[in-house]
Amino acid sequence: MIALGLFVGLESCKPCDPSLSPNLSIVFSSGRQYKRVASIDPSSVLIENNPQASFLLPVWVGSEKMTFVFSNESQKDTLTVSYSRRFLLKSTDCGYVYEISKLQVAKPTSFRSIVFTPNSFQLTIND
Amino acid sequence: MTKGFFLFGVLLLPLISMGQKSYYLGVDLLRSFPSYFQKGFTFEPSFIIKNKHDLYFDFAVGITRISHSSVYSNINYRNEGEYVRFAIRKDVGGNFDIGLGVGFSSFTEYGQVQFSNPSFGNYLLGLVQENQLFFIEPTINYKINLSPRFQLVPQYRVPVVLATFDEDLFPVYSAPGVGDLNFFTPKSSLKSTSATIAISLRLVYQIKGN
Repeated sequence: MIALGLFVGLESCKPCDPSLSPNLSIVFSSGRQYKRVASIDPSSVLIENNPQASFLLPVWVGSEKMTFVFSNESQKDTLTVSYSRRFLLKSTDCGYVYEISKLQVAKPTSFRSIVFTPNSFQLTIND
Repeated sequence: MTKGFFLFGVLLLPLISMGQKSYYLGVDLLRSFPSYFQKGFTFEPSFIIKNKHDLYFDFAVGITRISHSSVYSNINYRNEGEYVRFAIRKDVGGNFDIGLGVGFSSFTEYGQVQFSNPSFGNYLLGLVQENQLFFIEPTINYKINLSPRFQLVPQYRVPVVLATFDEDLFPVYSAPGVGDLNFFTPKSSLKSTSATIAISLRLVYQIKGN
């Protein structure tokens, strides 16, 4: 397990839209494709019948940990990320926004080699 | 501060008890009902004593339960609180009187922010902040005689909050008894202002005296 422990400051909106969620970029460097991606808690199917080797996945602001399940016909893998949330009033004109930071890979995660790209909110998986 | 108010009250007693007196009951009309700007109500009954020197001793208590659909862009807002006010007013002629009031307000502000996500649905963030503050306010009142015993009294106030009252979650939007504290706030600011302006309209009934 690679504990990334790196800081990424990502505001939910720039300059003033609190409804936009930050996305987590996942790239499989081996080119392996998954046709289905689902999240657990909150439970949601994010990708279905669309084989890809890179994904842009939403991060849920309602918790500080998310688990994604990647699957295809022969394989099922799990990636869990944890992060910190900070809610703040940006301005009286803009209203409340949130920031996601301190992204880390957490358990359960079935991948063994993950590289974190600072400042881009991107994980490259080398398995 | 509380001792100061008590001492202030004791010192006032000789003034209040001087001379022939009239007694009035009042209720604020303007803030009693929902409006375009807010839902809910403020109920403010008052008791007024007038002595023979045309000095009014004006006591009021209030209870506020108001809500706004949206403040500071995306906060659903609710305010629950109580306040007390005391003012000394002096007739200056032409149905006008001027006064100076002091008050104490205790209230809780509730905010709810909704973050929407097309994949996961809505997340509701709840914000709660409590506050207590003292304020002073110069007032100008104009008395409109409706009948021998009923008066309509528009009141113009400039309340000024004493001491710091900033909160961590969001700037204090309104304080019961004081008014909206974002009135002079620039949209880019994250602080409320200590001073505001307010208007009241009281219906006053004379229960005793000339």
